[in-house]
Amino acid sequence: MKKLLFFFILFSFHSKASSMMDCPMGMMRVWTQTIGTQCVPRFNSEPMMPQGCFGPLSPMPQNPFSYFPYQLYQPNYQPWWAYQGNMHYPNMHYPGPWNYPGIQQHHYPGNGQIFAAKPNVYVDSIHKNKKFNFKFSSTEKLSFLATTPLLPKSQIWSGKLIGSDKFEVDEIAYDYLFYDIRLPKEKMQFEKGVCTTRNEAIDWMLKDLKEMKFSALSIQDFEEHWRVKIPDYSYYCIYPQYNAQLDPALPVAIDVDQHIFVRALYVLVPHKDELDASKGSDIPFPTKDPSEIRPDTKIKREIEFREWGVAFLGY
Amino acid sequence: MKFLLLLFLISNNSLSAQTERFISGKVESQKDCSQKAMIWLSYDKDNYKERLLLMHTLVPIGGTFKFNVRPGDYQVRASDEAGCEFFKRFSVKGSDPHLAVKLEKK
Repeated sequence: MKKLLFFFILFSFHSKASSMMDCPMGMMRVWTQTIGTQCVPRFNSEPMMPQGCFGPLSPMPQNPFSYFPYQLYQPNYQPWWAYQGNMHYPNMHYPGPWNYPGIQQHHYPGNGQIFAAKPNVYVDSIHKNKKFNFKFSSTEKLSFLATTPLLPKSQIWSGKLIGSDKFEVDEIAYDYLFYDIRLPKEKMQFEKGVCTTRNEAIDWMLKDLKEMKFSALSIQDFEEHWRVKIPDYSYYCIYPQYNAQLDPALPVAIDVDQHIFVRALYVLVPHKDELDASKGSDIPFPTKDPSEIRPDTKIKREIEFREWGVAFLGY
Repeated sequence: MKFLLLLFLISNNSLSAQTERFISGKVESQKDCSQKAMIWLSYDKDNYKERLLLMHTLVPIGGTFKFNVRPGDYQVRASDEAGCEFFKRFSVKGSDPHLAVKLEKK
């Protein structure tokens, strides 16, 4: 009887473990609303851990979520919020509800096929305690999806610049101003850009930000966020949108003297298979060098605002 | 008369389905929590069985945020690096909820 009970317990553990089993080597678990959870070939966008080495240590040894089974592809290092997000959300490693090759736009209000996720606005100022107003000055209705700090109906963030690189709004210091927004596809350019692997696409964007003299902190934020949130596909085409595209599409007025505002939004189009121009694509492959339209940042100003963002198409 | 009432209800319903609503909030916390919290907005379907992450934003303590959403059922979860948490689920229909996101050590 005891033996029978032992085998029953052993079997029940085994069957439970099987149902929660991770994907086999070389595969990753992905989730979309249409197909649910599935194992698919893992595109080796992060270096594989050498055999016989211990995995990277969790930055949170007391993390209460650390025993939760991994749900999706994860890079080797993850920031604390990614560990926590993994526990609750099956689409954590996507920029939103996802259905290849883009975001499921019916979940969001507003208009515009370009989902600009997390444009962050940073400042670098030689003046301390300088008052500022940052106004979205478009006369058209804008389709914001999220803002931090809360953007009032006037569409103006008001406060003062503190230290050399922070915004103070309602007496709270922010490292950056944040918004998510939908933008019209027809106001973006799809001629200039580059296509490459996922990892190299991230590296290309980081290099591009450095070219435009984004601060180390802002580049670090970019890398931390987008290594987690860019879905794991073989190839990406990047169509950078700079001031020439963004100023008309989403005009901003900043009432601070002696400033510049450098803007970069990278529209990413994923490709599952190797890039093949003969197959055709919803968005044409880029044919020209994007550095032609990159803003010139050679002249230093007293107050410099810089904005980065990554966008995906909605379907 | 009944027909008119039905027509009114249907049109009112379809209007509200297209309307944009707002979820805003201010983050508060205890002393032993971190200086920043991630605010997660997920869209719940099928009686909260399916959790779709829509947006998330990192907010300093005392800071504010706003999400623009379609009317529907949502969860707002907040968490920080020190293990402090906040959770609320609610329906957004005719009004725009403003949340006091009070992080607590679990």
